[in-house]
Amino acid sequence: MAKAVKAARAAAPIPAAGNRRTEGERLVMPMIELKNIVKSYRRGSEELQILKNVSLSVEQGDFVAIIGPSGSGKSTLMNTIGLLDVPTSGSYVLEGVATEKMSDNRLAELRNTKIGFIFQQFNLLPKLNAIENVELPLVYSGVPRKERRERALRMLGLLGMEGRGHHKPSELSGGQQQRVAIARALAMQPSLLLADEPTGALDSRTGAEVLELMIQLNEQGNTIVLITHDAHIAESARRVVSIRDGQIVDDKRLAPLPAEPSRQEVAG
Amino acid sequence: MKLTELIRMAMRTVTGSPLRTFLTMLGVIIGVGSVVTLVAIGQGTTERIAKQYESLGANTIVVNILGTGRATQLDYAELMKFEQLPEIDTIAPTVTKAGSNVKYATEQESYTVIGTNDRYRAITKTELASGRFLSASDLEFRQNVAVLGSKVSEKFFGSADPVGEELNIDGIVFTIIGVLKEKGSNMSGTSVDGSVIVPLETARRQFKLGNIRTTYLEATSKEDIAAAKQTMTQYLTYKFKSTSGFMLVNQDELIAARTAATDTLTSQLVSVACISLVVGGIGIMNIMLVTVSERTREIGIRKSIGAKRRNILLQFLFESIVISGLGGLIGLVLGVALSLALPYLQPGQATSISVKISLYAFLFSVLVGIVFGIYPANKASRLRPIDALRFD
Repeated sequence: MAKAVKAARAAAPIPAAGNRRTEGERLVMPMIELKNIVKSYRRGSEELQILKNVSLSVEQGDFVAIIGPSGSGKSTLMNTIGLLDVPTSGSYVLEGVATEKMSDNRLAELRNTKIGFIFQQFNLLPKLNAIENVELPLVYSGVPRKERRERALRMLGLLGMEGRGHHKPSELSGGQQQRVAIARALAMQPSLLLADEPTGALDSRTGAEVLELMIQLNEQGNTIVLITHDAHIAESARRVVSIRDGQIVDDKRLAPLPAEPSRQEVAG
Repeated sequence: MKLTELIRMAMRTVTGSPLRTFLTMLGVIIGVGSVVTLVAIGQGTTERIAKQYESLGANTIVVNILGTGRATQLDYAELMKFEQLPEIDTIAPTVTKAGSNVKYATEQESYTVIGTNDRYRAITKTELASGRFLSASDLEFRQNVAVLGSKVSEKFFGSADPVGEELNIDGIVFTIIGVLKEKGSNMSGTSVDGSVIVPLETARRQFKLGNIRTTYLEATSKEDIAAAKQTMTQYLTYKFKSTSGFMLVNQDELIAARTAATDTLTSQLVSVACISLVVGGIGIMNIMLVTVSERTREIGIRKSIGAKRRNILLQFLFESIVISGLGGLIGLVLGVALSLALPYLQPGQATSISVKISLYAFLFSVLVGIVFGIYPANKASRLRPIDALRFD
């Protein structure tokens, strides 16, 4: 695995995204700051706590794996970080912006501009081709048609998917579909890539390829939060956070934060 | 998002499953198509009636004598004196004999003989194809002359000019002096085309036709119609000592009576077609609700990558509008096509497409899409992204 990581880090550059800052300047505050997050559901008379007082900070440029068995609350944590779900209590600050009490519209805007989702099931729209799928977040942010197309094509090209732009998801292999999904996640140059079991639906070989891709993306300066139940996959991250029964039980750093985030801005 | 973006997106989805879309819009297609066609038929019929009476002239009054016998007998010379009144321009009394046996050489056929005066042609606005019409002297000297309707001339002479030929009507010989152009049926229902026109007194004597039954009367102007009618009513009431032996009608009254009947029928049919439009709308709503639950995952994906409530609402609303609007458009085209084809498919059926009603029908179909699409679209937009993504 170490060899693969090395090979990946030497590979061609992949765009880094995120908020624009000058080289070397570092955010003082963490990119993600969760404080005392509680998420509970009411089922009949009993209250079910999925997340019990979770606090977590993620630095700019980090690659964090959140690991835990099914039912541990890791998916709920990811949905919270991804602003798909609102916590019952606690505070969540994303890039210095408090997200609680935000309107649905504002949350949608943040999902659009700050977060790139990579799902286990790819979640591409089956009736749209690769280009149109990658274009989708750009549609919702109001990017003009022509520019949208150019950016989508460039993203697909950077992920080695040139010439496949007009294929429907059903005409692509699992690995190719996930590349399209990653291109879509990167299209808006988000601050954070949020990957939920990105290799879960892939065979081990293509899974490894996608994982290398994630490492590469982090090398390029993208902040990544990856959710998995697989300890091997978690090893590729710089930091591993273990969650069990809705609580963080372990927090290990495997590799240091990059000293200087290498900002290789993609044009546009 | 821009309007063009929304329409393009909706068009894609809607054309993505053509059969379902077609079946969904069928109600609207039928609704709009039948509104357009039914109104075209109604309007065509109305216009045809109007045209028929128009040929008589707007100032024409028809006096029908209902009774028979001495009590309701009119004197020609006395009647013609009314021409001297300022409100009355010309008068053409007629006697008719249906089923007269007309013979030329070896051929014979039964036609209507009309006995009238020289004013008849002008009042009924009939054109001459050849020869001349009855003259004052023909009347005065009770000549045995005849003017043929177009059908009569065609029957015996084909395309040849029959002027100068002799014809036998119920055993009496008449000289043909003219032929009329084709006209269609007139106000009182008899067709000039299938008639032979002879001088009034000639007809009365030769065929023993007693009373003047129908008199055409031309008022001097539109404003004089009422005065002319009043004069005639007074005269006839005095003459017959009764108000029930005669009937006066003018063009406007006849058209109004006939069109009122047509309009009632048309509006009843159109309201049935409108019900079909509403039923079509319910069909659209039904399918849109199915669509929303089928595409819950899509909604989740779209929301996760930044679609706002408004985006989802408009997306589904526009799908519904595109389905109904497209259905309306297809219905419009089919309705217009059917309206244009109908006179050929069913001879005698006149149609006239109403641009205004057709446009309203189309706009109504779009409105149906909005009204019945808003609930499903709202439902879609309210889905929480997390629930929608979890859905399989």
